[in-house]
Amino acid sequence: MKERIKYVSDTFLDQFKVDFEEEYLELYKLGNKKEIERIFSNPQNVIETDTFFDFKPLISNNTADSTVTIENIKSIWSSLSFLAPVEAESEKLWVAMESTYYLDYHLKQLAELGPQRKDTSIMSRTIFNNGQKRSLFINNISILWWIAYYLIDDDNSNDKFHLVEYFVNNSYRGNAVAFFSSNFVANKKLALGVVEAIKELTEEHKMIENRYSYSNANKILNQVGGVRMLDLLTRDEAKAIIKNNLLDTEHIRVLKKAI
Amino acid sequence: MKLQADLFPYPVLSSVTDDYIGSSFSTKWREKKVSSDQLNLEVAFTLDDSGLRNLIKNKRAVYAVHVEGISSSYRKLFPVEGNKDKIIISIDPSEVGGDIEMNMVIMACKEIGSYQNKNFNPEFYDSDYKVASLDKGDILAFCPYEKLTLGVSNKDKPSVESMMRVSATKGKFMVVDTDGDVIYIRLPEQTHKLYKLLSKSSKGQEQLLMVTIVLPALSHVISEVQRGEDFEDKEWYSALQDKLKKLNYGEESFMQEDAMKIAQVLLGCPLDNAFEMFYNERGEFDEGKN
Repeated sequence: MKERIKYVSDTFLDQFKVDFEEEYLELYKLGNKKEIERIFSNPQNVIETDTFFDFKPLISNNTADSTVTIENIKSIWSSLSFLAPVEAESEKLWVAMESTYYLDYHLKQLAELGPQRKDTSIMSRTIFNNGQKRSLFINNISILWWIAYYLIDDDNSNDKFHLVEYFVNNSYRGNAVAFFSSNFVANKKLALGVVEAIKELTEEHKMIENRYSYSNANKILNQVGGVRMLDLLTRDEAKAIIKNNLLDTEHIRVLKKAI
Repeated sequence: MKLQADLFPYPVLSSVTDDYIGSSFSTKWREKKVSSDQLNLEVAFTLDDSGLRNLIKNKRAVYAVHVEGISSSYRKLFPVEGNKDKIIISIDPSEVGGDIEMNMVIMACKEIGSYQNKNFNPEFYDSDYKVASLDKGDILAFCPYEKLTLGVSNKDKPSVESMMRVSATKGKFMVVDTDGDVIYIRLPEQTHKLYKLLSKSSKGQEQLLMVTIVLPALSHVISEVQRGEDFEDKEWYSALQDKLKKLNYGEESFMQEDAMKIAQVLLGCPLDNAFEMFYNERGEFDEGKN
């Protein structure tokens, strides 16, 4: 189904963010789809562009199941892979898309949030209020696009989504924020090298993946990057650095060899 | 990325470290707009060190420029080819989106075993000191990083006034939120309702709100910046830096000045006539009688 890409206007976005707690939070909290659709169908607030995309609805049920997440990532990528990174970094795009085409999925995700800090989480997943880079991996829709962007492995002709599937296999949101906020992942081969290293260490039964697998890998490469141009490393060299050093870092669940 | 000289486990040549004596490394650069979708960065390197120059001549080291978007995913390394000491980098501004950082370096382009240089500072290194080995990509010299506004942002660059917004929160306390591209001053809901009414009622009341709400919030933000908090990827920070530069605040003067004073200067000294304006509007102020 061909649809037009939408953006919110600068003026509306400004007002939406300033007044979010007071005027919009309850709409998203209560899943008031009708009122949200009314606001986001106002041409003063939402601009329809001349760029078309192949819209596919996201699966809203059982999203804790990683197979559902993978299907949603594939759907978003299939629909929107043509976006340039600078376009996909735009808050104006994702605020519009989440409250129009992907509203059912967005509201379902918000409804499934636990009671602790629910209002804060609704805000963070709807507007960008955690810094530009982090916000891309907290927003309910942009996180799907960006995981695909960084982890699609075009060098693997059998299954280019193999690292995507690995990454979202467990609870991935925290890992996504911890890992992808780091500057060096903008170099895709470094990101692929790191995730592949973590994947291999777990498949070789040398460790159990946890949040520290990603945050410590970041620290290792950031330390190296303090004295070395990381961008000169190949994917395999980045992988080797992580594989050779990660198990010695703190809080990694190293598996001892069976006697 | 900000390269820090004290992190290097071996001597590195830079104006911010004295690992070398009698050597220097510097760069000159300029930007040149070629068309709407092409901007050229012309960078020229100047190196005064025979040891490093030999490494470059023998293709074991190379000049390079690393360009990175501060709040975008743009990131590229541009090594200089051949024995040249200048490079022209072409960038499409629409790919970048906002400010960029540039690091100009000399780096190893292949493994170098046993590196020795007669200009290592004898105060720190013995005459026979050798760096055991250097890996591909290891930085041998660098210039302090440069920041440049290059790309097309989705919004106009905010001014100091427009980089702050007052909004409501369900919480009980006023909060200053610096996590986004705009600073949010979040007031408890009822207070925010009254703030909105007061800010529209008269110029005097608006100025008083500037003094009682905006000024302390901005002072708090400036204190955080002075404490070394990292806000480089925030648009408000970029606007703040521009304004400070126009007010002739250098890094040293900024760090040494009182945060509350800086905030008042940035806001055009709102205290000067805020209270007078307020009382004049109420017809209660008479300078002679009071």
